[in-house]
Formats: sequence, C-alpha cells, structure tokens
Amino acid sequence: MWNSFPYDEWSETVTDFWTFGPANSTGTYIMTVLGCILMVASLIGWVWMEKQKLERQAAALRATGAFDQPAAPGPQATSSGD
Amino acid sequence: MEEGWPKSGHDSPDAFPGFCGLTAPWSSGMGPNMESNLTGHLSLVFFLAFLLFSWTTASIMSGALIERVRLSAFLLLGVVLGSVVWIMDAAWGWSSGGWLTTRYGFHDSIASLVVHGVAGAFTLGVLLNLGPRIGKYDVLGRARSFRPHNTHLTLMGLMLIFTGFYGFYAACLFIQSTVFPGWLNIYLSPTTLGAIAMVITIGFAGGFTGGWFASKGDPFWTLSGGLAGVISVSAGADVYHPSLAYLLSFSGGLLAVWVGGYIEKSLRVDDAVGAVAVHGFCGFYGVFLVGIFAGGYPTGINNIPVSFGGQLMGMLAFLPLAFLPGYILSWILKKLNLLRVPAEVELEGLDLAEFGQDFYPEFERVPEVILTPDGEEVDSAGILLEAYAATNGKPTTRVEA
Repeated sequence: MWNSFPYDEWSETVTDFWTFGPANSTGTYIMTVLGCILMVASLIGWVWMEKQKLERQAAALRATGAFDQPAAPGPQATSSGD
Repeated sequence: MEEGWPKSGHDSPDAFPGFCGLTAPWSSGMGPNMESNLTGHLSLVFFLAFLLFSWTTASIMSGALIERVRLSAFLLLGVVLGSVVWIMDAAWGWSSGGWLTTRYGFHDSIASLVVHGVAGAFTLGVLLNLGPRIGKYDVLGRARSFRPHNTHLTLMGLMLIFTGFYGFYAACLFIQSTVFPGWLNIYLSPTTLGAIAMVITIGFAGGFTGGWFASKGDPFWTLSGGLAGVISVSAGADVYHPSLAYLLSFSGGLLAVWVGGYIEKSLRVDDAVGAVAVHGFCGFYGVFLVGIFAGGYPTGINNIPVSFGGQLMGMLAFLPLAFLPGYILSWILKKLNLLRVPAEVELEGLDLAEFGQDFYPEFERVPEVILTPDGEEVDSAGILLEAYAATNGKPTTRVEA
C-alpha cells in the first residue's frame, strides 16, 4: 500500500509546495496566508478565553463574601458603642 | 560648495527610502533565501536579530504593567510595539538607509533610543490608561512600596539581563570579514568588538555606582542603575572612550533613580519595575549625550556628521511614534474593558485566575490587614476594593482626612 505512493513522480511538486527551498512558490504564499489567519484568530481567541476566565473567577470571589465591606472601616468610622 | 544641513539627496539602499525598506518583514532581505546559502543564512540571522529586539521591546514593557494587566492585552500591545513601532523606528533611525541617518546623521549605534527609549515611551502611554495597582497609593495619594517576595531572585534576574546584554550588543554589529577591523555598526561604519565590550562593562560599573549613591544603597535600584548606565552609553558605544563611558553611565544611573522616584511619587504613575525611568528616560538621554560627546563623528555610508540637532530630530520623531500608539491602543482596550483584570482578581493575585494554580505554594497566603483608627484590625480587601471603585482607579484623587 505504502509503496503505491508516487513519490518519484510527485516528489519535486510536494517539496516545492511544503518547503521554502524554491522561493516564491504557491505553497509558500498559501501557508503564509494560513499562518497569518491562524495568528489573528489566536489573538482574538486568547482575548475571549481570558475574558471568560477572569469574569468567572471574579464572580466566584464575590460570591465567597471575601470582599464585602467590613463593619467599621476607614477614618470616617464611628464606634457604635460610644 | 559646502552642502547644507540637513544633508539630503543621498541615494538610499532601502526599497522604500526612509520607511520600512530592508527591515520590513516582507522585504526580500529578511526572509530565508535558499538560492544562495551564504546570503540566505545571513538574511535569516538578520531577521532573527530584529525579531529578538522586537521581543526585547515587549519585555521592557512587561515589567511595568505587571500585577493588573490582562495577558491578552499585553500580547496585543506587544504585537503593536514589536511589530509596528519597533520596525518603523528601526527603519527611520537604525538603518544605513533610514531618513534620520542619511539626512541628519542620527547616531544610536547600540539602540539606546530605538529599542529602550521607544519601549519606555510606549509603556508610559499604556500606564496612563492602565492606572496603578490597587493599594499602590494611599488615600492621600502617597506612594506605597510593594516589596518583591524574593529579592534574591529579583536581583538574579537583573544579572541575567546583564549577561544577555553582551549578546544584545554583539547582535547589533555586522561582520565584514574581508575588511579591517571586520566589524561594522548598524550604519555600516567601522567599529570593533572590543570597543563595545569595554563600553558595556564600564557602563555597568558606572551605572551601579550612580544608582547606589542615588538610591542610598537600595539593591534593586543599584542593579537597575547598572542597566540605566549601559543604556545611557549604548547610543555611542562604538565611539566612546571607556573613561567617558564611565562618567556618562554614572550620570545615567543617578538620573534613572531620581526620575523613577519622580514618576512614582510626583506623577503618580505606577511603573512596577521602573522601566520608564531606566529604559525610557535613559534611552532618550543616551541619544542626547551622543549629540554632545560624539558630535562631528561620521555616521553611516554617507558619512553624515553626528550633530546635536540631528540627535534632537531623532528624539522628536520617536517620542510621538512610540507614545501615541501605546496611549491610543491602551485607551481603546480600556474602553472595551479588555485592558485590566477585574479588581477582585487583582487582589487575589493573577496566577489563580490566569493559570489555575498558585505559583508560590511554599508561602502561606496571609491576607493584608488594615488598622482602623479605633485600633481594630480588619481585612484590607474590602476597603481597598471600595477605595479603588470610588476613585475609578485614578491615583491623583485626594481625600482630605
């Protein structure tokens, strides 16, 4: 089965497409464009994914009550016992 | 007849004179070219050197923004700084064909301004929109000191930067093996490896000394002073006498500490590692010094003499080129609520939210407490959060006690 791959016949064409040996081949341009698209998509995906993570964590932290204002904070606070 | 100043009219070797030319990612000089083994490899190394410097600009910015910036926002800012701003400024003033070089003799051989100064100015623009870390300024607007959790590792990191600087300096040179002395600076003027190795070493020494005196022995600022010293003499590292480099880097170390304090305490801009002072200020300062101490030295293939006016022209060109993109992009991200992490996450520390794990499990997490006027100790988180919300993150809001 593997021997049926027409390597001798296609080798130069395949090499031209996938490697940067021959400059300015069609494959080079296609892969460059695909790489640019992947890069931009990754950036957008990163922004979106991080936004989800941060909002989820912030909501979880608020739910614990750890950031509730304490009863007697700051210089304006007065003691209820006075 | 004596040609007037600026000395224009020289042919530029760049494809697009004064714009991107050979430094553009799409330039024929940048990509791998296997048709010729030698030139192909040289071009690829040249591309990678510029890639290294683009990462350097982003890494300079990273320290200033830590502990409150979103990772994705930093990534986007880094892309613009490293892929647009840096490439543009290198094409203008760090290229044998750049318009600042060919017309004004702009001289910044080892990248004081084109890497450090530009990254610092961009960072300042971002910091103005990002705001300080929660708790950095108290209710009266006074700066609070955030101590590193491990000063040894902080200082070791700075020393690793020093080691890397030797590679950075060498990467700023070309090799022309057939002509004595064999080494050329980025403007294709002759220099030697010994000259820059000496200046960088002496620059560290002078910077340490200045930083030590100005900070009264603070370990972080002493080592940062060394960095500031080197950056202050990098622009003229190919031409300075080492003794001159010692004096100039001493002044750079001094000034970086003072400027850092001014930015933190008077401008109330929270630059977590002093990057704007060390890289930004000293980057501009280094180019300024070349105009004074290396005036008349020929720059580039057209042998345009260095002048104070030419150096000033570079400073005036690069300040808006760097500051405005940083300010505008961070302003847009801020409006989209994509610049800064939620306040709750910032107080908890970013590691858990961003990476899902505590990076310092050996340390017990002890909540910060605040002492109220009646002597009661209360958890600081709620107070800090409310104060942050009340001032909208602006450090300049003063509240009368």
